[in-house]
Amino acid sequence: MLSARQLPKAKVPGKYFGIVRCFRYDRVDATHLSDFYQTEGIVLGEDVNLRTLLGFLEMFAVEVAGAKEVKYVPGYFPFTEPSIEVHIKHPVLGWFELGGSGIFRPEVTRSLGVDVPVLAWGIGIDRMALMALGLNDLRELFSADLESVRMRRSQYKIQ
Amino acid sequence: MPKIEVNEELFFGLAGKTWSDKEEFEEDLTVAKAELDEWDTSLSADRERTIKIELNDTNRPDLWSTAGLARQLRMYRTRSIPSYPFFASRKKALKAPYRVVVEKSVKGVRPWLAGLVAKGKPISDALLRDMIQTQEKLAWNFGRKRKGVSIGIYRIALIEWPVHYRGVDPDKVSFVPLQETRTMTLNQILEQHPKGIEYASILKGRPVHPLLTDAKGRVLSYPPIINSADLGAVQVGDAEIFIEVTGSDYPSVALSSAIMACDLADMGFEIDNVQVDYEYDTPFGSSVVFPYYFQEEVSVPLDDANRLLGSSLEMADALEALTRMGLCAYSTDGAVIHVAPPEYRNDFLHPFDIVEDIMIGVGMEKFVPQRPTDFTIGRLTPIERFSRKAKSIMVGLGYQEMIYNYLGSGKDYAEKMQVSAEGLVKIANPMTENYEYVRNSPLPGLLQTESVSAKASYPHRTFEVGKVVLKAPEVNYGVVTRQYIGFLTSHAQADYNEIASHVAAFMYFLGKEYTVRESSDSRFVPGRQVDVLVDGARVGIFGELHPLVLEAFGVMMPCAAGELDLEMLLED
Repeated sequence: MLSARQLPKAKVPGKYFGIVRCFRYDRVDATHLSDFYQTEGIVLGEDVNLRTLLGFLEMFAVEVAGAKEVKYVPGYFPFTEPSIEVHIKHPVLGWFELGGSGIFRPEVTRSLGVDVPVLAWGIGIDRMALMALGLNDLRELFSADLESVRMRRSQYKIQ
Repeated sequence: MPKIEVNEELFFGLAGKTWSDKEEFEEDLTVAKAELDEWDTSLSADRERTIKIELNDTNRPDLWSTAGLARQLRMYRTRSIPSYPFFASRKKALKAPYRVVVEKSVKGVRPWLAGLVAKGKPISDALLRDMIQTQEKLAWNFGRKRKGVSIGIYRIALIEWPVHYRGVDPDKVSFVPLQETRTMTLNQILEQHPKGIEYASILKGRPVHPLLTDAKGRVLSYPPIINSADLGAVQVGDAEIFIEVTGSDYPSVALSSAIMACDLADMGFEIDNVQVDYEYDTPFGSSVVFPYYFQEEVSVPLDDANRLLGSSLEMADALEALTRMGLCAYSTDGAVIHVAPPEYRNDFLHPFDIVEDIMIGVGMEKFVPQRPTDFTIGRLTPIERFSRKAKSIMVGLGYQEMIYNYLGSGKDYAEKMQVSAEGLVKIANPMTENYEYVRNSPLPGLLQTESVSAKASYPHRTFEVGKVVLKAPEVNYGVVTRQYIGFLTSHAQADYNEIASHVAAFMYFLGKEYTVRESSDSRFVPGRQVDVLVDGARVGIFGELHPLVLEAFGVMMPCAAGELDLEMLLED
C-alpha cells in the first residue's frame, strides 16, 4: 500500500517506511494476532540488489529484534521476484517468520515510472518485539492487565 | 496456498532420499518454497505415514503433487534432469494411438481439451489417493475451482475410441453420475447432485453444456461437474487409465495435462499420446497431440542476473545452479543465458524469473548480506512527533501508557458502552465475533483494563494513543482513520474536576486554547461531561463515565475519562 502510493513520487536514491496496524484473517495464538503492527519499507537505488536487501533484513533481525540465528529462505509474493522470507530463532518458540520481502518485478515499477531496482519488505514489529523483549506470546504486548504492564521492566543492553 | 498430503514412503522413494530429521527436511523443502506443516514421526512405520506440506508458490502447480515436489528436491540434489520423450511440440510430431474429437458445439461453453493415457502398472491405493489429490489441487487452486481447469480419470478397458467432446442440451441428455444410482439429466444433476450444486455456477443458464462420450455414445463424464458411474470410475488395481483435462483457459489445460503426464512417468507409468482433433482452430493447431510442449525459450544476460543478485557468478556457476533447479540452460556466447522451460512449468513471465531460479540453485547461504551505503535523511511525520509529545505529557501527569487491539466485539464496543453499533465499521467476514468490529474510540480498551485490574493498587491512570475508525459518508471510502488519545482515571475520588484539570494541563503544555460546552453522550453522566472545542470545532470529550458503562464492564470504582482527536489538535 505504502509502496504503491510512494513509488510514483519517490526519489532515487530513496528510502521510505511506515509503521502501521495491519489486520489479518487468522486464528489468534502466540505468534498470530488479528491486528498487529507491521513496518513496510522500500529502497530505490541504482545499486540495490539481493545482497543489500539481505543487509536490511539482517539489520531488522539482528539489530532490532536481537536475534542470534537468522535465515533467509526463498518465498513467493506476487509483486516481487526474487522473493525472500526472513526467519529468526526464538529461544522458546523456535523458528518463526519475521516478514516477507523481495525486489519489485520490473512490470510493477516501470508502470509507475521507476526504472531502478526497488527493494520492498513487510516486517512484523510485534514479532521483533517478542524476540527483543523476551516474551513468549504476542498477546502479552496488548495486555489489558494494568499490574503486569506497570511491572514490566524496560529492556536495554549495554553492548 | 495449497496444502498437500504425501505418503511418506512414496515421497521418499520418488525423491531418492529418506529424511529422519525434521529440521533437515524443512531446510531441503525451501528450494521448492515449501513448508512442513505436519509430520507425525511417532506413528509406527507399518501404518501408512503421511506428511502435510504447504506450497507457497502459486505459479508452480507442478509442485503441488507428491511426484512434482519430490522431483524438485531430487533434481536439486542430483543435478539430473529427467527427460519426457512422449511430449509432442510444434517441432516434433508424434503418432498417437488414441483420439478425441472436439466438436464445434462445445466451443462456446468450455472449448479446450487435452488428454493422455497412462499404462503399465496397476494403481495402488496410495497412488490412487495421490492422483485424486493432484487432480483436485490442479482443478481447485490452479483451475479456479474447476472453472479454468478440471480433470477426469477413466478406466480405459471400457472405452470405445474415438472419444467425443461436444455441447449438448442439458435437458435432453441423461446418465447415472458417480455417487448416484438413478439416471439424471444434466440440469437435474446441477440442481440435485451434491457436486452439481457445488459447481452449478460454472454452467447454470447456458443453453449448451459440455459432455464427453465414447464412440458408442456412452457418457464418460459431464465436465467439470461429475463422471459417469459406469465409465468414469477408477479403482485400485486398474492398470490402464485415460486422463482428460478440460477448461476455459487453454495454457492451463495443456499445462495440467503435462504435469499429470510427468508425475505419472516419474511414478513408473508409460505414457501414451492422445490426438485431439478440434473442429475449430486453436493456438496449437486444429489437430494437437498431447502431452504437448508449448513453452518458449527465455533468456537473460548473465550481467543482469549478477547485478540483481549483487553477485559475481561465472557463467558455469549460473548454468549449474539452473540445472539444480531442473532447467535446461545453455549459453552460446558466454554472456547470455538461455533457458528452455521444463514441460511442467509455465511461470517464466520475464527474464527476471530466471534470476530467482539462479538464486535458489546457488543457495541462499552463498549471498552475504550487505549493509546499505546510500545516505538518505529520514524524519518523523508531523503526527508522529505530535503524538510523542502528547505521550510524554501524559506520562508526566502520571498516566500509564497502554496499547490495545483495534478489532473487538459489538458487545465491548457498543453494548457495554451504551452506544449503538451503527457508528462502528463492521467486518463482513470476521474469524469470530470477538473481532467483528473496528473500534471508533479508545475508551473500551481503557475500560477493559479497569475490568481486569481491580487488584492493582489505586489510583489507576491510563492512556492510549492510537487509531480509531469513524464512518464518514462524505469521503470516498466512507470511513476515516484518525489518531486519537484516550485517557482514564479511576479511584474512589475520581471525578469531573480531576479529569478537567488534567485536560487543562495537557492543553496548556501543547499550547492549545480551548473552551468547553456541555455535552450529552450516553457514555458519560449527564451534567458531568463536556465537549472540547478548539476554534469552535469539536475535538473531543471528557467527563465522568456513566454507572451503566462501569457496571457493564464490571467496574466498581468511579472513573473519569476522555478522548481527543490528535490530528485536529495538530492542525493550526
